[in-house]
Amino acid sequence: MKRLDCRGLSCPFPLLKVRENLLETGKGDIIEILADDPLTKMDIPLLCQELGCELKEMEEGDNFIRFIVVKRI
Amino acid sequence: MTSVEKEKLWIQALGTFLVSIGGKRVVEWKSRKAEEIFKLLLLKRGRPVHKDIIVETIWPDVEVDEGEFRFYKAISRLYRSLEPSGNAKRSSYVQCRDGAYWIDFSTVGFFDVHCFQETLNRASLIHEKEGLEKAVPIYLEAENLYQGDLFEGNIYQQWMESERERLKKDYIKILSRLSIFYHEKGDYWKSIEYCLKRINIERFSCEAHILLMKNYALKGEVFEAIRIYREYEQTLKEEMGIGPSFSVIKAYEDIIKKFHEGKRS
Repeated sequence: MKRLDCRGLSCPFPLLKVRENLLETGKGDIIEILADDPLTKMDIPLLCQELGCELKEMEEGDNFIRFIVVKRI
Repeated sequence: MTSVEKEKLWIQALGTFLVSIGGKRVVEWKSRKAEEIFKLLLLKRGRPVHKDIIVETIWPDVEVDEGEFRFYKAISRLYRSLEPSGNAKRSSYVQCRDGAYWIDFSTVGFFDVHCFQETLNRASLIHEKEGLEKAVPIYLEAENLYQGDLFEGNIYQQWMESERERLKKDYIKILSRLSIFYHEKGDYWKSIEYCLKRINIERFSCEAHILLMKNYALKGEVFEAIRIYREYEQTLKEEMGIGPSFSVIKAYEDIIKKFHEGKRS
């Protein structure tokens, strides 16, 4: 599983980084994304939809949000 | 005269760099490198820095011997900048032992970076324990201390970049908290003021643009909110080749929807 750390970045930069990585990754690959900008809670699930990825998990910790995304296309 | 009796240094490093002795005489730097060494030592907050490290940092591209020669020249100029009538071989403000140099912080009366961080820490603590409203006066105090980026104008010195970015992030955090606080309080103009300050240093910020649009819409200035969205969209397209994020688009669409609903009713 690939790990993408977007903590410390504020929107739109986490989204840019995630988009770039999801486009590069292969079908079936799983990516764990860590972010701390609250806007990513809305943006990353919608980005997944747009890029044909499945958001398997979204978990909120004390100072971070963790996403597990699977590339489907 | 001991260092305790010595007139204290007053140092402004956020924005225009200014050092004065006892708040009266402004230090005139005898050379740019002397000033740079002082800045380097300043960021170490009284911790000793070895001469070799200073040479490597300030003259990264010169040979060791040449670097050392330049260092002694610059340090002597630094002493004379701080104490023009004093000895060029020592200073009561900058101490030296075993090849290491440091600023004696007991001779510093005011250092804005230190005050900024201390005030922000105090605000964050009160914010955590007693809530944002109680912390706002202290956040405002900290905001007021940030007169500009660290050593504004020194854009080519890499060694100060991480500290400058760290302080800027802290400042953005303050602006974000203040803009949210005033927005929630219904003081939309005040919130706009802090959103604009934030956009001025963080041009692509989604959060600041969302809040700015919402503030204008809530003040009845929907066309201004639309103008902001279009300008933001244009900037992103021209400079980064992307469109606004989903959260910004949603905030914009909500404003338009509410506007049309209001017109119908």
